Amino acid sequence: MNNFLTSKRVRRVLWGALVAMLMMALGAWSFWPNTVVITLHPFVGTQPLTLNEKVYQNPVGVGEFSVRDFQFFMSNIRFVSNDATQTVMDSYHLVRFDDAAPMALVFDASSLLGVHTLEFGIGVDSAANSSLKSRGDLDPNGRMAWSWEVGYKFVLLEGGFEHQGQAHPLVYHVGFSENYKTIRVPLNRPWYQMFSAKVDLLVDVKALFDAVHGVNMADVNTIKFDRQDARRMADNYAHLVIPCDNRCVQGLK
Amino acid sequence: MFRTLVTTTSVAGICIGLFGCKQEPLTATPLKDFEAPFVFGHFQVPADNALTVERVALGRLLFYDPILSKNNQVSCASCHQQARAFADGKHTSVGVSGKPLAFNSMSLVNLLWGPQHFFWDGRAKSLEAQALVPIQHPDEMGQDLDILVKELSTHAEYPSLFAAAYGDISPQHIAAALASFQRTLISANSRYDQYLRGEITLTDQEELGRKLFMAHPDAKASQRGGNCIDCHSQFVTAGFSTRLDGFSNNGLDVEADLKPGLAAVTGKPEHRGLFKVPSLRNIAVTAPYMHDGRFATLAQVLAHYNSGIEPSTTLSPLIVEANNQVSDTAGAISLNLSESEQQAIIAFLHTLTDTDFLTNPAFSDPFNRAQDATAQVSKDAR
Repeated sequence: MNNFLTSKRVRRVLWGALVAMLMMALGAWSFWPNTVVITLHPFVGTQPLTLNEKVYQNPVGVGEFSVRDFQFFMSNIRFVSNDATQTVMDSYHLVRFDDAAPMALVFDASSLLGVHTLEFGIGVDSAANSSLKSRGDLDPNGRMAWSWEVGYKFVLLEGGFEHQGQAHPLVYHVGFSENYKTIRVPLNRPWYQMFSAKVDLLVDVKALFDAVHGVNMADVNTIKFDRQDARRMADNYAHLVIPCDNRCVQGLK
Repeated sequence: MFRTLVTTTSVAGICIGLFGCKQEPLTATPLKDFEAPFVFGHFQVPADNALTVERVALGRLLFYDPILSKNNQVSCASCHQQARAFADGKHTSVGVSGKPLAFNSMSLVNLLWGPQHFFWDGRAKSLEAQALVPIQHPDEMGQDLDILVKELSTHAEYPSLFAAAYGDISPQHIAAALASFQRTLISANSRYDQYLRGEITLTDQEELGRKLFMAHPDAKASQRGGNCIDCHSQFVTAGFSTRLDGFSNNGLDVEADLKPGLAAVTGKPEHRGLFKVPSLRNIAVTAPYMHDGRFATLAQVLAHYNSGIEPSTTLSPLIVEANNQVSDTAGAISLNLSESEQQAIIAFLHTLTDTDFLTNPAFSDPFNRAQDATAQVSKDAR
């Protein structure tokens, strides 16, 4: 045995193996992600959302519409695994699609290993909604703030609607604490993606108008303070964000 | 309601041994009493231009010194007068060339908050970048920067002041000093601020005006509103700071007459006719109004928003849609506010006047030439 270990050739092989293992470990360490990235891909039904330029069919009625501004709050993000739930501090993220770069939320975390569900709210929880504290993307002087007596807009969509030559503005500002909705997205990842720290989600603007209740923009071109209208659109935006499906996969290629 | 944010920023002189030390300021005294209401929210001072006593003092001297102009007769304060909340009372300003400029002089107040794009069309992305533009503009101050640096370098006092503040005299340090002074121009003791702090109550008319200011109208929900807050934030009262959200087309011109506005900077057709939404702090003393100074009074401004909106493709849908009546004549854009409601909003706007700001000695002319301007404003007010 001693002779075996002390033979020059074997020692050289062992040293080589050790160096190779160290290099592999080093490589794995340097490539191991240290951030989790959630990318949101906006669509209107089957078509990608393009602000200002593109025209879409009214999902539940006659006419066409365009979107000038679309923003919403995604809040209280939690990564749920069987043995633990990781929460994000001051997790109030303004999601918007008016930048050339994709809309991505980046978090310091080593991996999503074991995480089976992503949980988050659409809107602002009642405690934060009645506070003047600036945290995350919440800003009492921001575009998403109503007056402090009312709170934040949770979802903002502004644009234009046209039917038979008649144009109308679209103004949907939906808020109120009772309309905070929690969404749970299962992360059903194939085994070969188990180490990936990327999550791709699909945001479907069409869902605002047809997910649960039909909101016909030909009849209701504005929602703000009417509680019943706001609740109907809130029921709809509980389905605004879903896992990426074929639409998204096509877009990613 | 108010808390105090105190910044104690300081300048750290960094020397990199290999390359030797750049000239560093001789002294760097943190600005200890710099404070602002917490409801104004977060703010950022550039890391390479931390606020110090020396920088602010230098910036104040430069701001009021006509040495910055080609003919040594025009200073920043010529068009930005303290008694007018750092506006100038003219439709559009006039500089060294005597030609009227394209824009109305913008009030300088609470510049750390609101849109961090400067000029009416947002072409400067920082106060530092903004400062050198009017100095060199042939119709504003018409100055050559190399000549200006030479003039300041041979001046009896500026070399030591620059040495203390920045180390040396350069166009960048001139801009940085001017930016530092302007960042200290904080207005936070108007009657509205006192109301927010719980120190006073507003009159019934002012309170009605405040409520109207803070609401988008929704006739279906019986919510009356003046629609102001859709563009002017509730505490800062300026445009929004996020991206280009602080720019708007507020219906001043029909399609054919739309000026480029923000589109001159972004090149995007959807930005035609969009201009920076200014702070409304001290609005009662900053007439005339709008980017071209077309309205002489606040009553004219309210009349415009109530029933004078001109349609165009980039007009804000929030303005088109805002109506205090359930139905209106087809195509007409009107807030349908009553006369007394318009008066109430004007009464609320007057609560934004901050006399302490308008007379604060720390912001005044260090060369003691302010009296003339103050007298003129008093005369105008009468």
